[in-house]
Amino acid sequence: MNPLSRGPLPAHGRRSAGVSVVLSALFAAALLLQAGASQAQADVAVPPSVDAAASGMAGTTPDATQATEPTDAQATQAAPADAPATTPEPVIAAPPAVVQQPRAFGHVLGDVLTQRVRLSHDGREFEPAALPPPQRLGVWLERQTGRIERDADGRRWLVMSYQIINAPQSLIALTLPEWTLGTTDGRALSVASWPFSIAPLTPRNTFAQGALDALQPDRDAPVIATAPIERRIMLWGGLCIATLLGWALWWVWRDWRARHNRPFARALQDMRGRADTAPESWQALHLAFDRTAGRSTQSASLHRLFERAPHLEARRADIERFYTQSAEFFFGTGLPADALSVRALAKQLRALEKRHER
Amino acid sequence: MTTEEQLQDWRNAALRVESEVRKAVIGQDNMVRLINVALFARGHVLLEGDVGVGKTTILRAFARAVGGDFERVEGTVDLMPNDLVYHTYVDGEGKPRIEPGPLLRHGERLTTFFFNEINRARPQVQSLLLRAMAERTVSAFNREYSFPHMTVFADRNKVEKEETFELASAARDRFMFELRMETPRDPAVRRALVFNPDFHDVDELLQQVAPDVVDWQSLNRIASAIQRTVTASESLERYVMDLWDASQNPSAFDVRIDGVDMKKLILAGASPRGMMAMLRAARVVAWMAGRTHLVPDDVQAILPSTLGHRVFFTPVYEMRRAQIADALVAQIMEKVATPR
Repeated sequence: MNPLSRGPLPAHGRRSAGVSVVLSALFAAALLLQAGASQAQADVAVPPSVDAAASGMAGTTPDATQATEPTDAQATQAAPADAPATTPEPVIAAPPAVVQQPRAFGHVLGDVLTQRVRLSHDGREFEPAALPPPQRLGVWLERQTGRIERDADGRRWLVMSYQIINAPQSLIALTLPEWTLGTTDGRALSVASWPFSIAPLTPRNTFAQGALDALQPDRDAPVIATAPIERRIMLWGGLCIATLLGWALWWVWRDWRARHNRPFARALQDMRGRADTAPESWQALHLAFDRTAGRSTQSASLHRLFERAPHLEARRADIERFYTQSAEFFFGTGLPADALSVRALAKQLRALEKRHER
Repeated sequence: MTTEEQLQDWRNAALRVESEVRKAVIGQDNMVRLINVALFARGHVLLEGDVGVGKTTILRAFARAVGGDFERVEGTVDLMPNDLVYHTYVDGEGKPRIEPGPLLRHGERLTTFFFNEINRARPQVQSLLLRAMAERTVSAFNREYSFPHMTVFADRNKVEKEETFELASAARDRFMFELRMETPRDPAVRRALVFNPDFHDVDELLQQVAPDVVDWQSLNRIASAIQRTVTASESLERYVMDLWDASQNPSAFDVRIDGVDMKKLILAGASPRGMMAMLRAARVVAWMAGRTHLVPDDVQAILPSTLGHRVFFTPVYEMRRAQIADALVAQIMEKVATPR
């Protein structure tokens, strides 16, 4: 049972069926005759549907979605032949269309109601002159673009959809507006209004009993097994850390080895704790030159050192002086009075080799 | 007692000998220097080199600059030892005569004895020569002949191997130097040698060399003075000992040669006589550089010429001697460090 059918009658209900339109027209004509009120005549004589029919456009009334009283009109009524109106005005009253109305109940915000209008007039298929434009209809409905489809029997239907775009606070009845479908040859079919109900999304008042609160607590997320994930994280994280650690160790080791293996750095280490004039200090620097040149180097073969290590050219004069004084020291008369500081020279050369290595 | 001034004078004379010889011989400066060193170290020289590069010219130039007599002998397979000592002939009156041979002919005046193609001469001839080299004396005609100022230069033909008698290792060891005389590579020198007519007539060329620059009779005295004057420090002694060790056991000094098993290479390292010769020569180099002490560079200057022919290889490597000896000496010079 449609809940709307037992709802209260609205004070200014709008007729939804073609029959009602005809009756109202007759009633208006009677009023016109009795009172001679021209204004009233103008209002009633040209109802929106008539205008729409005359112009070939679908007509809608602004308050088409207001709550309406229950009606017995059948949504899928196939023929309007049993209309009670006996004196119809064929000029202004379009014959009712064959319409498959949507389900009248059980709708909520966001639902789409689909109305199917048979494109047949007097048993003949016709082309609609124009389709109702997609637009908003009041606060409740949004009419979407109509389309024409063909059913299994080859009959053509105009499918109009209306989406509910508002949510009531309590169960209410609304009406799909009536409208008229014009044909290309100037005729028209009327589509009756169609009441339906919309339910609220939530009750206005909560029950406030037990667990029936306004908001229900969030449901707990389902518990999933995290142990394998943790194991994987541990495994890959451990591998990652081990890799990074290994890389860092390698880097430190390489740096240490390079520092340790650089000839002049090593010479300075060997000189630690020895005097500048100690033969061992001079020999350490000799060894560094030999290692840099990759061979035993003497004054006469110094060019081999600079060929192999051109970065030492900057200190060429000092290096030659070192070799001259070293020859005096080790093979001649002894350390000259103006002997250079082998430690200072080694430090300068260490800086050169370090810069070169970078 | 030798004074420093005397040594300085002799050094100037020695350097002048070199410059005089260079007037006749171009493009062989190192060769001239080493022969000069051998002359003042009183060592004999084994020459090895290409044909026609001027070996005789350089020796004649030295003989002229130093003074004394020059003698030349051609090594042939039928040369006998006696041919060096005397030769017999029938004179114009039909009487047999015996004359002193090339070795005895000049007596003590003999300063430069050039034995060309010594490896063509029989071992008997070589051994006579070796005695003459070592002792500078020869027994003949029931008496001792001495040539105290003689320096022997022997040329070894390395191109031909037929009908040759390779010098025994002991024979090679008697030579202070083995010098390889090569064709000059400098294009300017090569062009001058070919196109400059001055170099075509050797006798005329040698006229440009001033004679008797140094007194040949004092060469032994000078050499002795040099050897006593030039000193070797402890570091240098250690260096020379290391070189000696390296010639016997190169792998201990990380000496490596491509394609050679270093442990199987050496049969015998340098001999004590060889090391003595090396030191004698090194002292002369130091003296020529104006020093009274040895430095490693002095030793290195003569090392290739003194060590290469003194190291005896195992038979499997002996055939590649020329190639391996050079590499070995170069490696020893590179690997043996000093001072340490």
